[in-house]
Amino acid sequence: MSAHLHETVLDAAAAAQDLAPGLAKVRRLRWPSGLTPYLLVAPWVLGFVAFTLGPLLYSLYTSFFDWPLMGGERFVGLENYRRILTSDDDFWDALAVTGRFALLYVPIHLAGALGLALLLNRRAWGQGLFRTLFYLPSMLSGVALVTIWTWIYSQEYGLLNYLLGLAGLEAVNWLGSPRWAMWSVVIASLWSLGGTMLVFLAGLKGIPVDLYEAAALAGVSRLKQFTHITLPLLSPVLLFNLVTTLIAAFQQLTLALLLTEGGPLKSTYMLAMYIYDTAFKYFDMGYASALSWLLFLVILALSMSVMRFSSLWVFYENEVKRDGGAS
Amino acid sequence: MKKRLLVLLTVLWPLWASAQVLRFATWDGSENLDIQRRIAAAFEQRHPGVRVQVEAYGAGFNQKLSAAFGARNPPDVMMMWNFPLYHRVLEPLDAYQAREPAFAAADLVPGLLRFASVDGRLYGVPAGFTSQVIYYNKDMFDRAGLAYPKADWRWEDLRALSQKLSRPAAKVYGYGLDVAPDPYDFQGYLWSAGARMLAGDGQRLRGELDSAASQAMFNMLLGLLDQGLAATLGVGDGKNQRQLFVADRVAMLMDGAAFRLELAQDGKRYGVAPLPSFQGRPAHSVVSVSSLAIARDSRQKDLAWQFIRFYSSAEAVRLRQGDLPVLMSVARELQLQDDPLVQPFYAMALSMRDEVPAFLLNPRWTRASGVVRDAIQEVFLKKGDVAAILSRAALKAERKLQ
Repeated sequence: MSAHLHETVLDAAAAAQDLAPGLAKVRRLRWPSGLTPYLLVAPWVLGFVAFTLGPLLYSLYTSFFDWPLMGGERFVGLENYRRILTSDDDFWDALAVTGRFALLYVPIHLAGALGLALLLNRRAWGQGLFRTLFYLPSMLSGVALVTIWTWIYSQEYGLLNYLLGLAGLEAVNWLGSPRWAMWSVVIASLWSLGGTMLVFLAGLKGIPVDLYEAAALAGVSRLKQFTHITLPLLSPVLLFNLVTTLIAAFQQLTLALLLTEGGPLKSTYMLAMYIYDTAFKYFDMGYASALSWLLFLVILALSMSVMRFSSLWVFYENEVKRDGGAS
Repeated sequence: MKKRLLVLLTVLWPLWASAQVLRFATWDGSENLDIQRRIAAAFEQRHPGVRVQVEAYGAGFNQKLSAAFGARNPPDVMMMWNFPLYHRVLEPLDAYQAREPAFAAADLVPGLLRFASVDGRLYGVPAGFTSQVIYYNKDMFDRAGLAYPKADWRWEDLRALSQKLSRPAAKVYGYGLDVAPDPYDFQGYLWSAGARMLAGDGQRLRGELDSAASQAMFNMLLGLLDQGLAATLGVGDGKNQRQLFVADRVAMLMDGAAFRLELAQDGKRYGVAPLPSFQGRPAHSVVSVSSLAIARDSRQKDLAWQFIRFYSSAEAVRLRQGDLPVLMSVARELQLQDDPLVQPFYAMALSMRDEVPAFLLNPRWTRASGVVRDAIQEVFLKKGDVAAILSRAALKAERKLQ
């Protein structure tokens, strides 16, 4: 019985061997070996095409039309762009307000994030806790953030004016005064500098400790260590954060929209908000698309300028090493 | 139990899925939304096999509705106020109205139907309205020993009352002035002064917004602010004028009918008076009308029309307890015209018959409206000479209309 079974098994094995190339072929047909990576990235690619690239290209197409959303579109060529650049005061006003916001926000945001990263980079108790605490606000949604800041800024009941009162200072109409409204938006925007701080912190962790030890042994002061070691070695990270923060500044919408509604007297009426109003209040989709593309070009030009002049102040360690090796 | 539920679902699901679905978009929320659902349920009872899908767009109503139209997937029926902007995607209702002798246009509050008409064609049926009146805080009046405002009062009376009610040091004011109002609502002030924002041709603001009559009204209101008789509301940290009224910090303010419901909830003692007259002229208020309209792309327009007719019928109007009835017969039946807390709204609604709000004169008014809003704010925040600000705004707004 067992001998018979043994023979049967051997026969089956031989038959399987004969079939093996065919089965393998079938497997190959079913699942081409190179397909897997494409399938893995497909959800992202599909999402990108459907929700980013597609609308992006469609908005470019729309920008050449008088497109009232309701009632049919009409091709107008470059007319929307001509109108914006030659006769639309609101565009230039909003661009100026956005530029002013960026001028205030970008340096303060970068300095604040770098300062926090430097503090967290020191060996101290509770480092992990503070890192989490500083990052947590970045996870808040813009709407929740606005609700919190509306309470903080309240002229009569706000925390900020309460603190000013304790210091013997007069209450400030943070959101109602054209003089203070922009500062209010800038300060509220700083709430979410946790992400930038983490990038700086990662950069700081990458700087070799022995450089500081050598400098300390040579009697170099802390300030000089910062300006001669930290800043140069951190400059690529600084460049990255500068570009991303600049882009974020020019795209600011939520805070201005919900905190001040662009007021008072349009003192916080930024370009993204003008685009929003044009699209969803005036339903002028063609004009709003043209505005969006002009905003894109402004951001592109600024980013390219920063990148172009970055060679003057950004220090890439590997380039120096390579240069050093060649010489 | 689970099995029974499953069987029930299995039986009901095909019935539910096979129902003819009528989509109805509304901007109402909370209690009003419940009322809409009750009206929808009553309609479903009368139309077996029909399910009304109430879509509550809430605060983002315009954005969601325009996106739905843009995607060519609009609801069958929707609440609507801005007919000049939307009329090209709405179904004209004249033919439906003509087919139905029971359509009681004459029973509507006079003047409402023109809000739903564009170029002589009817695109909607009014379902709710409000005008603006002055709310006064009875507690504050009683404490100060002052008589309540009467129907024939003047702005001089309001000023005199404010002088007795205001204590600026304690941040208590006679009047609450929204200094960044919706220009639509602000038109009532200008009409009462014999001025207007936009000329009848729908193009010209110069000579209207910056006219002597308009400046006189602005200067009178500015005077109230300068003398500490009025609270500056509407800019800054969201100081809610209604909250200030309830908290006895503002004794009088201008508002629509919806405020009544909040005051009733708070158990606040209040009264309402028509708007005061200015320089001997009769007072005028704006009227805000919410209507129901049908999407031109709807595939079930007859059913949609039946829903609209039901929604504007006396039965449904009675259900809409939060709104002022648009049918005079229902108002009479409920004796609202004898109710001192309601009658002024009807009186002020009738005052608007001679005036045309700017958005009905030019479909691009929304763009110009922003300029006017900025100018009003500029005046009340004292950013320059009143005449210069208004003239500049008039010129800029005219450009926006082209």
